[in-house]
Amino acid sequence: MNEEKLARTIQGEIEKATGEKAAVSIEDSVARLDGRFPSNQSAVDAGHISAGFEQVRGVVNEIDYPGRKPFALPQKVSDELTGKEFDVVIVGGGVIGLAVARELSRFNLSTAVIERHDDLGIDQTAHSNAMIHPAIATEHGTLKWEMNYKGNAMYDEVASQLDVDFKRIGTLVVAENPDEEQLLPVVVEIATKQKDPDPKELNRAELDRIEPGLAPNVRRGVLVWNTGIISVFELIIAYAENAMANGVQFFLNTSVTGVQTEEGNIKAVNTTRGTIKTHILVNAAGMYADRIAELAGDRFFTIHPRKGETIIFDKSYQPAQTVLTSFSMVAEKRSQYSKGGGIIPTIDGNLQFGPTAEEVCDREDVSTTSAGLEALFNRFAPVLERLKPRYEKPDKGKIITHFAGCRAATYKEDFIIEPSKKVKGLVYAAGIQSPGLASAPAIAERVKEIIIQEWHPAENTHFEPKRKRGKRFSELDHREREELIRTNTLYGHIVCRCENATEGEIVDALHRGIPAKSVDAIKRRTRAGMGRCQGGFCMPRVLEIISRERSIEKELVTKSGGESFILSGKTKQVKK
Amino acid sequence: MKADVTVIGSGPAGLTAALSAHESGAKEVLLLEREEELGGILKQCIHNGFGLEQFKEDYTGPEYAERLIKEIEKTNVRRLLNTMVIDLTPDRAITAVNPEKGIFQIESKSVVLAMGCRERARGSIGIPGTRPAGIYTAGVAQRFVNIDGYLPGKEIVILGSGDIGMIMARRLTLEGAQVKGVYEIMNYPGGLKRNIVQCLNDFDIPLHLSHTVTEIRGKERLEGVVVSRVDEKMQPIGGSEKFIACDTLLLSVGLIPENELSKGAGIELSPITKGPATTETMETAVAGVFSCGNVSTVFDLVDYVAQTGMTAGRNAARYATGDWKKERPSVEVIPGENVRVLFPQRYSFQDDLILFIRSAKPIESPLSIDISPLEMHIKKLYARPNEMIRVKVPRDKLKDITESIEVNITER
Ligand SMILES: Cc1cc2nc3c(=O)[nH]c(=O)nc-3n(C[C@H](O)[C@H](O)[C@H](O)COP(=O)(O)OP(=O)(O)OC[C@H]3O[C@@H](n4cnc5c(N)ncnc54)[C@H](O)[C@@H]3O)c2cc1C
Ligand SMILES: Cc1cc2nc3c(=O)[nH]c(=O)nc-3n(C[C@H](O)[C@H](O)[C@H](O)COP(=O)(O)OP(=O)(O)OC[C@H]3O[C@@H](n4cnc5c(N)ncnc54)[C@H](O)[C@@H]3O)c2cc1C
Repeated sequence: MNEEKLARTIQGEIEKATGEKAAVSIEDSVARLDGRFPSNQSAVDAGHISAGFEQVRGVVNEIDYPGRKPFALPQKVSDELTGKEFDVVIVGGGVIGLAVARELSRFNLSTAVIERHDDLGIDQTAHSNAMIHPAIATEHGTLKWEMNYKGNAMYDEVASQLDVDFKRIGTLVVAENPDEEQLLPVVVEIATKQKDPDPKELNRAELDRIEPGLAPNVRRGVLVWNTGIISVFELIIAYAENAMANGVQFFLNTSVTGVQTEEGNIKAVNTTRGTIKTHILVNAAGMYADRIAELAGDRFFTIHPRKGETIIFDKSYQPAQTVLTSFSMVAEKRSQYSKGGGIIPTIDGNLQFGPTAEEVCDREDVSTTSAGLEALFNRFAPVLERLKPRYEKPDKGKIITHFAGCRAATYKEDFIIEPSKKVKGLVYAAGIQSPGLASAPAIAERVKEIIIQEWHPAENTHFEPKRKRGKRFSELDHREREELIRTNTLYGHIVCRCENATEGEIVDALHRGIPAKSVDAIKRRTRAGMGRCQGGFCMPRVLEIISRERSIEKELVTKSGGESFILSGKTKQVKK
Repeated sequence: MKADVTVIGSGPAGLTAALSAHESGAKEVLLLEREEELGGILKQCIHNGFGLEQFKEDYTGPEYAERLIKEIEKTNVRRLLNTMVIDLTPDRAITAVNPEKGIFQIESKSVVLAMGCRERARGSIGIPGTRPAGIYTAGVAQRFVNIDGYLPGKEIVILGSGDIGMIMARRLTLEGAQVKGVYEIMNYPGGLKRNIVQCLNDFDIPLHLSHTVTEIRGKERLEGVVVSRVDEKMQPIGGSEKFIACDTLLLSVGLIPENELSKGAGIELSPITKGPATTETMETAVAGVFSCGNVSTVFDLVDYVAQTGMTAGRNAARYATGDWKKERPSVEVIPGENVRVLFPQRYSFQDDLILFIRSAKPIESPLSIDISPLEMHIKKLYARPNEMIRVKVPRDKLKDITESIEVNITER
């Protein structure tokens, strides 16, 4: 079909489905949509319809709708970075940018990571469910699927080299009646086809060993054992610290606001803190990867934010050892574009229900809703109650936190990992929605391959793959604790009583690697404030330690960077 | 390290327990406190109203604590500060940590739990919305203002009408902040009458009953909250939403006894009080482990806290010195009609039974508190869940009880 005809066909399909007329144009296999639609959802539908055509490589969706957020570039604050020059600049300090940074540090390339926030990974990565998905649920044959199964398989090595807690707990699909038992071989077959290694059908005795206390009617199930859970905050920091140790430089609180090209080659990036020269630009900008593409004059996709909410229970409630799945959950899977969420334990021993999937207008929308909470609870609590009748019932009173994050989805709903077709030096790792975390090591490797094929850098013979994390009081036995306190008495002062995080760990997090600057950054690194009282006890103490160690006034300490100041000033009668 | 009686926590409960254990003849009394000073939460309660009953004085929190600390200092009670207990076993082995000694073990003949309570936070009440700075429990705000000398914000909304929230409403108003209102989900206030009058009414701070916060807005710092009216089932009523601009939301939505250690020691907790189930001697279900103060149940008045501390200390000393015999098995003390909270949970025939009762709902007409099978009927003019009722049942009246004791509130 020629592009004009295709455009008309797409227009017709959109009108059929939504009742709205969009202006559709196609150039170089990229569809561009304009118009004004009554809702975000209808605009998103138009995007998906267009992307459904195979000849369409990408969809740029400019359809306006009520509530659409205009995009504004942040203001420049200084010129301090002007004059710097790197071989590679990576935009985005999420797990993808960081994994790429570490991969590239295996070569003699000077590399910089630029991140707009004052800490790493806090857009998508930190709001994920920290699950290393099996490939069973991703669409066969997509890039997503390939990266998923490859990335999953790489995690044992990544976690051990980077000293990050990681455990393969498996996804357990259980049959609740003879009809469902009949379907178990099909599950094994699908998992095998998807390249999840060695899925196993289990009998009751085997089930009891990995998921004790299942309901009596559960007699058989399938274990897809390669599902993992990881400490995602630790992973972020670990990738960054290791990359840093191998020479990568980090610029936080810095936004990329422009891309300079010359005769189709990357020349430099403009940032809020000055212009940095480079000839390779890796676009790992998550929610804003389409904007970076646009700035480079290579616009061929639009990111549409899809929000996911998650609820987390107190550690005293641990009814599931695996990612426990019933056939009813699989059947009920709501959205075509997400895996439907689940009952997911975390590596720290808290159970999660999540995530939901909802198209939203604002890429920055990380607000939680009571509808989200109710939906999660009503969907998963009955399953858990049914499958694990001997355990305490799920209880809303045991929820300790509820959070949300947006997935950076494209309309093609697949990852984009490729060199730009227009701009030499621009490499994409974009549209990395779920299971982007599970895929990260494979994505990084793919990006590395693209770069070495084109530029042939020499290997960095000093590359050190290993990184050690700081000591954690809560993980040590008595003797090790004794020793630690003897070398540094700050480890004898427990600041967070829920998670047993000590002052020693907090001070360490404020000084090592990518130093924590805010209360939330401390929380992500040390777990102080992550327990059942959610910082009710330790937050003022953490604030005090940050102020002391960073030598800043307490009023300047933030919750999470920017203007998120915790205090608003001194009282009238200051005692001290 | 060895001790006769070890007290964990040095708030009013712990201080009183340590003193009373000492006075009751325990030789080696050890008091462990994770903070750098004795006194517990009272150090940040700089308002008055403490010790009216116990000392017949109107002290501020720190003054009250100081009085107990002075008395402790006159004794040989050994005090270890900056010392956090991280483990307690059913056979009373205590593991503690402090910067000087590192990790160390204490063997104690008896143990008194006096770890107090903590505040419920945002997560446990599930307010949807964003997660900006500016949302604190009232106790955190109290610490910022009273201990650190900082203001948490300038335009304040308070969710929950607990006492700490109301006290902070007044405190912040005096510091020049604007308190826009206190919102309470129940149709009656959570805190004491005197605090409603002295902290809210006197400062023209509105109290909105049957209201709750249904959304939090703001990206970096809080920009406002949406409040809604709720129906009898405490569900928000659609259409009643109102946006209130503010930079701070204080939560005063309840206190929970701090029982991580108790759970570790295998001590049975009461589902009602969320603290250890104890007898009138304050002994828990684990022999030789006593508990008192807000770790047992959340009391309204520090005088009540001290009273339980006194009892726990005295009995812990008896236990440690071998002067402890249980002649009869204990019986249950059961909350009946209209009773939401009842403390203690058992009676062991060793002491007078002092009951602490909270009614299940506000009753504003004459009523009677009936203690069966005794023919005891205590008449009251009203009962409110936010005002604990204390009733003393003398020991000699109870000696013939064989099965259980039940407490009912009957409207007349
Ligand atoms: C609710 C939810 C649950 C999920 N659960 C899972 C899961 O369990 N398992 C799994 O495998 N995947 C999961 N995912 C997906 C996974 O989180 C993402 O795929 C992955 O984190 C993507 O990483 P990233 O580095 O591409 O993106 P991000 O983490 O978003 O990083 C991009 C970074 O780029 C920065 N940036 C953007 N624009 C600029 C600019 N102009 N200048 C400078 N910096 C910029 C951003 O600040 C951000 O830090 C989940 C996602 C969501 C939303
Ligand atoms: C923020 C807040 C404000 C309050 N304001 C008032 C008020 O204005 N008026 C009023 O009458 N009541 C108030 N209360 C109630 C108050 O808790 C009681 O009145 C009284 O202080 C309770 O005494 P306590 O000894 O049981 O507990 P606390 O005073 O809380 O003392 C418990 C002590 O145990 C220590 N501790 C806990 N765990 C450990 C451990 N593992 N190892 C070592 N030490 C430990 C704590 O550091 C603390 O010092 C308030 C409570 C809170 C939380």
